[in-house]
Amino acid sequence: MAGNPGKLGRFEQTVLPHLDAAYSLARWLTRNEHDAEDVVQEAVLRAFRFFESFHGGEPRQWLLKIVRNTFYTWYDKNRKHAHTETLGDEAMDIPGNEMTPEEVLIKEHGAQVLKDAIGTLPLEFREVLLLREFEGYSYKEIADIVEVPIGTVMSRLSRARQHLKDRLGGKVDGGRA
Amino acid sequence: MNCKELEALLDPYLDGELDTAQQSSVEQHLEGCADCRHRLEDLRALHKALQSKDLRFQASDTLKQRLQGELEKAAAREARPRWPRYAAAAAVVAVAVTLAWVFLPLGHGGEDEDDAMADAAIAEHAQALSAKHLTDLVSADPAAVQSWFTGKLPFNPPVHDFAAQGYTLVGARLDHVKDEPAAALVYQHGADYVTVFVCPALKAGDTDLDADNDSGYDIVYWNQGALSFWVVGKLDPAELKRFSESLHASI
Repeated sequence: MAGNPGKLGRFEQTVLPHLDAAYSLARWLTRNEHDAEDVVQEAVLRAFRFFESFHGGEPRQWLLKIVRNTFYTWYDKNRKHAHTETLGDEAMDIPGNEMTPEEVLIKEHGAQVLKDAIGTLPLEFREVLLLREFEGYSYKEIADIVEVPIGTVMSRLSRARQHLKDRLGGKVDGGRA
Repeated sequence: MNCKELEALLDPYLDGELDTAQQSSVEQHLEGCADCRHRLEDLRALHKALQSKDLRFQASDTLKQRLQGELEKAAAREARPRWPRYAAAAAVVAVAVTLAWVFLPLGHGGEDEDDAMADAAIAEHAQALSAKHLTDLVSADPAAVQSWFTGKLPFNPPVHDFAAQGYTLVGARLDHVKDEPAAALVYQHGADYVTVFVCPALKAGDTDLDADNDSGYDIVYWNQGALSFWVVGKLDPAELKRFSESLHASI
């Protein structure tokens, strides 16, 4: 039974609508469903505990910052077992993508190839790319979440995209036809 | 503007991060340069491909239900008065200590608990820094901080001033370390913050200063009377120890 329905209710209304964004970020950072759920659970409970200190502002950004922080605490502890520095498991399932004609590749494997390419990005590049491309945050907002200067956000983002383009070898076509 | 200069601006151009002047000089260059237009097209294609729904994940219903349950439990815990909760915890600890005496060889036990507490204290400190919520009360006055805690905790945390040693009292917040209610005293040393967590001691009796580190933070901890002290910071470990010794001596 909820003993503090006022706080819980406000928390559910303000923060929980961003649960998918939180899970998506955790899933991309951990590269593993089970670990992502653990990280999100820990992060959401921390957010609840600190909810009194959240005074307006953008709740999703606030939550994602906590998710990111929780992830790094988890990551430091589980570094040896983490999947983060390797290609994701899915990578093994792609049939020789070098040989697939571009159009077929995009139609059938476009997202898969991209997924694997994102998975090979080192964490500090991956998180900046995710926050920009998936969450649509400005450089300034990303700088706040990741706690680096804006110039660093800009260069990491640029290098992340370059890395993706290199890995995909021009195979991704977002509809340029 | 040459191609090399433009290349550095292409990402922020695509992301709408340039000011008007920069934007128009990028556009001017693009007009006359097919190579750079091609680069921009590549970036746009990548951006478009990254918007695919297949790259998004959604929280499962299982996770949502689990969270719902955990949140309700957390809300219920917070609503309970602190005294009975502490008394219950103390009773559990008393039973655990008795069992430990019966079943464990003497001098053993407690270390895992200390490690878990140390990790938790570090996590709380890091989390407070990251959430930029270090203090519920901002005050450099030890007496004011001490009286602020009155009635909020089942014990009285000692609060002292260490400005002479280079540690300015910034303020305090109510926190907890693992399941223990804690007074968090925040001191500033140069550009760094140090949190002193004061909790009820799990075991009675004074102990020597012990040190540990995790996630880039150092921690020094000890028991003194009925209280335990957990000093967390990113300082040089020897410096943190010096501060802890001053604190230890002042109590």
